[in-house]
Amino acid sequence: MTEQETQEELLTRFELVEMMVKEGRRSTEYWGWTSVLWGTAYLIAIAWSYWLHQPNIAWPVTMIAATVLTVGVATRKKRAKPRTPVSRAITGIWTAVGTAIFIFCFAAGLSGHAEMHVYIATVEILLGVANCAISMVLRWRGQFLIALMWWISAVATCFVAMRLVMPILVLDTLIGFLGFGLYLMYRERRDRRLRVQHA
Amino acid sequence: MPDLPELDPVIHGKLRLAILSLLSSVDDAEFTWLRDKTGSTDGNLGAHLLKLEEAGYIGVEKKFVFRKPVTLYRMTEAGRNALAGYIRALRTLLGSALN
Repeated sequence: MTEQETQEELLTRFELVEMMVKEGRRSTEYWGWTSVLWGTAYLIAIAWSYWLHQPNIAWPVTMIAATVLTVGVATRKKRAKPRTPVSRAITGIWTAVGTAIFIFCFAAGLSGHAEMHVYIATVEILLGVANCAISMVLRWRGQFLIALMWWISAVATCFVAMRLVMPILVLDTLIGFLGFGLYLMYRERRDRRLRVQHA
Repeated sequence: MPDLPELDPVIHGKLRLAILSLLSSVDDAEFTWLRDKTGSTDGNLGAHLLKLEEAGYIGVEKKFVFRKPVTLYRMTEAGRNALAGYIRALRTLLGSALN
């Protein structure tokens, strides 16, 4: 340190560190679109299975297509955006849960041993796990409510009549994926607008 | 009277300090992101990144994403220690002025 350096200059350095660290942490990624995409994929798969009676084709095709789309769009969107520990945690949770659901659905569907109530309830439980884990990472109660909804639905699915299993899944998809995704996108858009105003 | 701490000259420059502070809060970051956040020019940023790399404070990874070249920068352990040491030294030098 030279003698001419004043306290103000050092304070400026200190404020610069604080500002830049804050700026780096604010570099959040936007996830709303993935929720909307997967919600749409679920609804397409459900509709395809119901009206065309081809669940063995409908689910693998839509799920694989949604995975390819998610990876493709996410890779393009990620360009010029830094990876943060939070984004890594969220990606990890969805990858792990998504893989678990895929393996379970594939094995259970192929073997033919899966009873529809248990089959759907297991998927709902796993979706609840993902939402709960992310709510803990983000410390966000809103997402925990979505986890709670999936778990309550899983319990309900075990007890209701067969004709109600699919409507419950459709309702959850509309709320837990589409509704929640659109809400996230609205928040993200508002956040972006505020940043522009404060820039 | 205790000796006043020295400030690391490698990161004392504003741009290099800004780069290290930004990289401390993310896993890794692209050149363009760092340029946007610091408001620096390509040439200036590149020169300062090179200085930090030579000091062992940051690591560089070059790869292709969708056939486009991407340069990723991440902070090394030495960089993290240097920044922590710099902040400690600043706190000591500033003392009560921080409150």
